[in-house]
Amino acid sequence: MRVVLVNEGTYPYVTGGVSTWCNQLVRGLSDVQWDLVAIVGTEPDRPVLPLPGNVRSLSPVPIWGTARPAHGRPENAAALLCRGMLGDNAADLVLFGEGLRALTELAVGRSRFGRALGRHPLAGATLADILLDAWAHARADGIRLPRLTLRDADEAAVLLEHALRPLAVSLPPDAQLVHANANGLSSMVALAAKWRLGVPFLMTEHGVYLRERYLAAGGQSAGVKTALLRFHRALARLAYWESDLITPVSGFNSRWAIRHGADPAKLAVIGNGVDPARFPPLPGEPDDPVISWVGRVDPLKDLETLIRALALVRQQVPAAQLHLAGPVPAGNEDYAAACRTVAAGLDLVGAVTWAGPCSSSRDAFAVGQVAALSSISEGMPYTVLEAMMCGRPTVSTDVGGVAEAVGDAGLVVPPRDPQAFADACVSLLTSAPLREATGHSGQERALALYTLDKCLSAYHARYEQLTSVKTPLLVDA
Amino acid sequence: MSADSLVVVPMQRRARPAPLDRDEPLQFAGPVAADPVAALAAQMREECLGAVDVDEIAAILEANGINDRVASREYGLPSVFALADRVVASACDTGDTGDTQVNAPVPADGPRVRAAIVDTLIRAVIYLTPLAIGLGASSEVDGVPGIARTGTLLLGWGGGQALSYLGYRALSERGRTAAARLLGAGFVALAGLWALVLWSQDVRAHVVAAVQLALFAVAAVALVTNRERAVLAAAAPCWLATAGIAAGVGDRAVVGLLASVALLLGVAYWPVIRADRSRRAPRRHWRSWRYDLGYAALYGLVGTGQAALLQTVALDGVAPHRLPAGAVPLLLGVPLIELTLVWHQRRITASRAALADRFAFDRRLASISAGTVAVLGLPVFAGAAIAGAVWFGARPPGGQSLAAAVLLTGVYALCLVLAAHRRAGTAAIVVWWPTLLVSGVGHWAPALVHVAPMFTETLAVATLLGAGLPGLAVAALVLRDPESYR
Repeated sequence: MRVVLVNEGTYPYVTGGVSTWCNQLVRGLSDVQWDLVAIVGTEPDRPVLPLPGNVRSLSPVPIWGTARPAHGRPENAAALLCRGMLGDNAADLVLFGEGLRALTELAVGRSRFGRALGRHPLAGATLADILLDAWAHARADGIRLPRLTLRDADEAAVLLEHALRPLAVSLPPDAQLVHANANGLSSMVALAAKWRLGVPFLMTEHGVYLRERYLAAGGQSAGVKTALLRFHRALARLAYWESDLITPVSGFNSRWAIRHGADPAKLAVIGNGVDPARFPPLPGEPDDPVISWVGRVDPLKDLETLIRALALVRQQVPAAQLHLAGPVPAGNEDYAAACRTVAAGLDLVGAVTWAGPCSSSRDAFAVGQVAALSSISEGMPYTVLEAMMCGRPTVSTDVGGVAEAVGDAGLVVPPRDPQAFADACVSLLTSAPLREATGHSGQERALALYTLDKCLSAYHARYEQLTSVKTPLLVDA
Repeated sequence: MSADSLVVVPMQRRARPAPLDRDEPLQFAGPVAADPVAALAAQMREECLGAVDVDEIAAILEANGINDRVASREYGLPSVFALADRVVASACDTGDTGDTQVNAPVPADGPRVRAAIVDTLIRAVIYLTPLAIGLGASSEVDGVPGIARTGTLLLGWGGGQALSYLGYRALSERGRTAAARLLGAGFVALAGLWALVLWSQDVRAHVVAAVQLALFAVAAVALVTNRERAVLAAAAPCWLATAGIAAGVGDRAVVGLLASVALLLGVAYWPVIRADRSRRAPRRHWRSWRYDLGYAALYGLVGTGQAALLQTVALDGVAPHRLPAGAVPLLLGVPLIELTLVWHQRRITASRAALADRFAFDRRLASISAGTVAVLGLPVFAGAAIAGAVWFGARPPGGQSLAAAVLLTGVYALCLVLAAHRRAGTAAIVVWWPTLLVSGVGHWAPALVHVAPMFTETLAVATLLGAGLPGLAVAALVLRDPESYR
């Protein structure tokens, strides 16, 4: 079986989160021949995760690299795309789809030596003017849009042009399935392959790509923000509509998919899996009341709330400490510094340990009596599943699929609420029997529902189901 | 667990996810006297008025812990989407709805005019520092072989332009340290190659060439890494030493100049290079370099042409111990032209930020460009007027040399406009053809120069006019083209 796995900003160039999931999938399904497509910002360095022998190819797709303009004229396609993305109804989505398909055709190209070398369909096009015209028409049609200045149009056009560059990816002609590891740009690659080669398209959503775009917007002007979010909304809807199967990691995520047009019959929740052999129960717990946290230092993890919660915990458990294990990714240095400032401001410098990256989260959980997750956005976080598998009691925020994963085998509190988080931690830190019972039930739940074998088997079965479809999927343009 | 999107520009890629700018988390906080939805809407009014659609509010609600269970239990609505819908409707009932966005005032470009003028002048002084030091210390290079003087001028100017282009690319992709390292490595490579070319020359020739290249390297890194002020401050000893040489202080001033150039080189490079000690080398596919190297070569050609034109028109035949007439308009004109172009760019930027109608922008662009072209035309027409006066028998100070120098300033200005607006090829033509014509005639028809000593100056004026007038027309078209500002 030959599968193309498409990622954006993750595997195999960063570690943790989605990368962990991909690594497990690629290594675990050893009978699958993988072609990896990694959408990256600029030309990447070498992968940080070693690739196993069943990986046939790795194609980094830098969307901020040097432009390769298309040979044809993209103006009509761009006009359809812009007009379609600004509207709300199904007819608008059809327009958007037509525009994207036309751009997909323009993105096909060959090098001088006959090798497939895709083109960037909107590079060099007068996209800003096209967007301004579409904007004016949409407002005239009664669609409520903010003002789009020429500068906004320039900025939005640059971002849109780069966002569409993954259309230039050339996939192996013998690929049997494209597995997009998110909606958005990854799914755009899968859409292009479906249109060009008739390859079926499976989408896994770990978080909700569209929701994260909404949450990430904010630094731009109203016009730029609206243009980008309209584009992502239209792209997400089209991908939900065109995908052959959608496998969110939690039922929580599937609500967004259904709201934006996914056929419920195409949805199959496949939760993440943890290898019990790698996360056997921890033999005991430390004497000190330590709360351990594992993850990458990132605003989405909301470490400020965790640090503030520690201050409240220490009012009742003065010896309580916080052990933070995880890397600070490039670009997040300011956030890490802000977290340290919060800790210093609360006089917690000695109570918070910044342990840096750890080789195994189990080692980090072994340091604490309680495992914590304070994120404001998650799909189905590994750290919670791993802590449960190790038998550590968990305190988590009620975001994404966390409540589904934890069930009644851990404490779940609202996000961004230091008091609630602290109360939950105190209840565990002050009661050894409660810790033991919670840890034990967590381990039982993880073994029953979230083992790696279950996850891999589910994907293997879906791959076989999709690749055995006899009906050609190629749709006429 | 969520994938990071790369759609936004790299600097914004890890933007903080829409935090609510308040201390209290957004969640149900107990019984509310009236309608809890209305209370929530009041709390979220700002977010609702700025939201693109209901789903943005749903995303914010979910990120604050309000999921379907909470929506049902605390607000009596079946889902967070239904709650978001009600919250938006409620907020917009009491608010200004989407018009808040529609009529939002365009942020002003800001006065900051004085800062812009100072920055521009500093940049201009950085450009001119190598030229000024070269002219001031011309007595010390008397007798140095032409390849070490003129050859290094061409190499340094052209190489500096080419490396600066690559430096800006590295800056945008990998940051200041990578840009400075690229520039440093590039100039070291140029210096190494040039040392081989000068192998048979004496030590003095090597020193003159090294100082020239060092000054170009300093100017390039200062401009690319935006450290003009610090570098300009460090250049003060060089200017003093040069003044000392011009005043006849002698060897002590020469030693001072060499030491201060070494110091300047250190100040320009060392803080930036050591800022990131990871020493991670940029890794790019050769194919992507191919495009950049092509453009870099084109900018290098423009730079070499500028240097060759300067040498041909203003420096050839310069006598030691005197400032050539050609340098004066250049030293005065370049900063003024820089200021004009900055003024032009600021007006354009402000207009694009304020206008939503591209036809209105076209009209605004026409009026702004007309003013800029008028300023760009001043040296061209002034040079023509001086040349005409000489032709008709008048004797203005400087004569044809002054006319040529004024025209040279105009051609440089046009070259600057064309290169800045991605017409480097046209810029190269504008600077190279007068150079080739003047030097070609001097080389292939020396008898003409011998018979009529003023012939070279007259030819230079004629060819500069021949380059300046069409160049001005092209620049006018370029400045008037909205595509030039994307």
